[in-house]
Amino acid sequence: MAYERRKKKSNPLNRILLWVSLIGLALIAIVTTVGRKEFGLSHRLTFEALGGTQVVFTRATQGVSGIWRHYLDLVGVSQENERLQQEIKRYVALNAEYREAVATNVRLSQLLDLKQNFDEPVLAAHVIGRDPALWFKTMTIDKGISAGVKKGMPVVTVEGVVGQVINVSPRYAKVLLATDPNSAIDAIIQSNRALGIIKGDGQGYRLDYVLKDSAVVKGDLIITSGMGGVFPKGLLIGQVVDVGNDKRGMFHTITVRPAVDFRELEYVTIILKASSLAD
Amino acid sequence: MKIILFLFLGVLFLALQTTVFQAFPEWMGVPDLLFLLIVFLALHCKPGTGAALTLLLSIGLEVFSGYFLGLYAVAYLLVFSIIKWMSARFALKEVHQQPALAALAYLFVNAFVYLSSLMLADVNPNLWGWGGILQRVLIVTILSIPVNRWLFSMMSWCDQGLRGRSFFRQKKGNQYKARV
Repeated sequence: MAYERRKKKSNPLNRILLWVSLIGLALIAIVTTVGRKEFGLSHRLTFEALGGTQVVFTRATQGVSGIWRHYLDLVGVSQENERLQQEIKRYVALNAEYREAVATNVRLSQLLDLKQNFDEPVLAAHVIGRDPALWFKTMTIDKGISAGVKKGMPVVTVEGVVGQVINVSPRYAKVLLATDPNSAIDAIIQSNRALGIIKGDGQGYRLDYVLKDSAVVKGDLIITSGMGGVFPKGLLIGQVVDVGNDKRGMFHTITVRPAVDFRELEYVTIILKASSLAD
Repeated sequence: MKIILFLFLGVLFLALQTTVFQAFPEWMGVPDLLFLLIVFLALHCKPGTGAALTLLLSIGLEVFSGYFLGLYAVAYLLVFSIIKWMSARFALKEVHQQPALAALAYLFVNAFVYLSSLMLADVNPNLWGWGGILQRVLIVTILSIPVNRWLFSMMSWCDQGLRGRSFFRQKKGNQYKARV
């Protein structure tokens, strides 16, 4: 009896069938997602689950860097005696807190100014993670569907354009940065009103489709044209740093330095406008 | 137990790569620990368990990275299968093979993701930069041996922990000896 049960258990055909079904299901799952841009249920669930981990790690990193900064502040301080050292530490910590409060105040004032510039409501969000890959430029923010964030909404700071929301889950959202090679924004050269399209090149921008008969010089400011329907008109994108002198072709080859320092981004503003990203 | 351990490590590595490591100066690069974990899984895990873990972790990665979905899942499963197939024929588990294996596999994954995103992009081609990729390959190569050893010790610790539990523990001594 027991021998028969064991024999039945180790039937290779059953195991092969089980594996074939599992592999088949996995392949179906993969094939249906390849090349898609929208999150499915599995991606949304994973995003929700892992977003919290990112929040913890980002806060921890900021805490550690804060401690490190305090330590650096104290390197030059003479250690006359224990009491004075404690006193200095206390004041330095207090000072850092005040500085942080002032910086927060300035940032919030700037956000308030920014908010007044737009007709649509805006929402501040904290950057909680960045894309670890070389080929893509995205970041994660701590606001999602529950805060009114939708796919396609523009993301900005007081310095200028940051990018667009591409994926959302109830509490988090993924933003495609304007420096990503898959990003394209309708732009205008402020000085001569020539139209073009800003495209990401991984590090900065390229301004494409500007005709050679329009005069472009180093230092020209590039702003959003408002024509794409995603970004409001007049937001700063960057500054021209190089104009290629290739004699072939109809268009200039223009390199633009972003107005925003993407590595230093901590907070961003989402413009809650009812427009969708072009798929 | 091992599955939970590796899943936990994968999530930890992913969180580190998207947060803490991003604060490193640019010249230091971002160590791809998740990739090294997947290479380890391909070398030391059973095919089914390893592939399932690889799929889960790659879905986790593509939630935070990239524009097109599914690329990492396909790339990592391909790398997993190739390493698994090769490890059955060659001595890939040897310590001195790890740096070359990690470097080649990392180049393969990046080339695959780059070319796939190039094909899927509407208008704008990606820009392959040798500087950045070689920096990442170098980091992965340097870290391959210590990370592999650390993961191996974690796996051994996990196995010992399981054996140490009363349920799994074997009774010592002569079991048939009459007690007086």
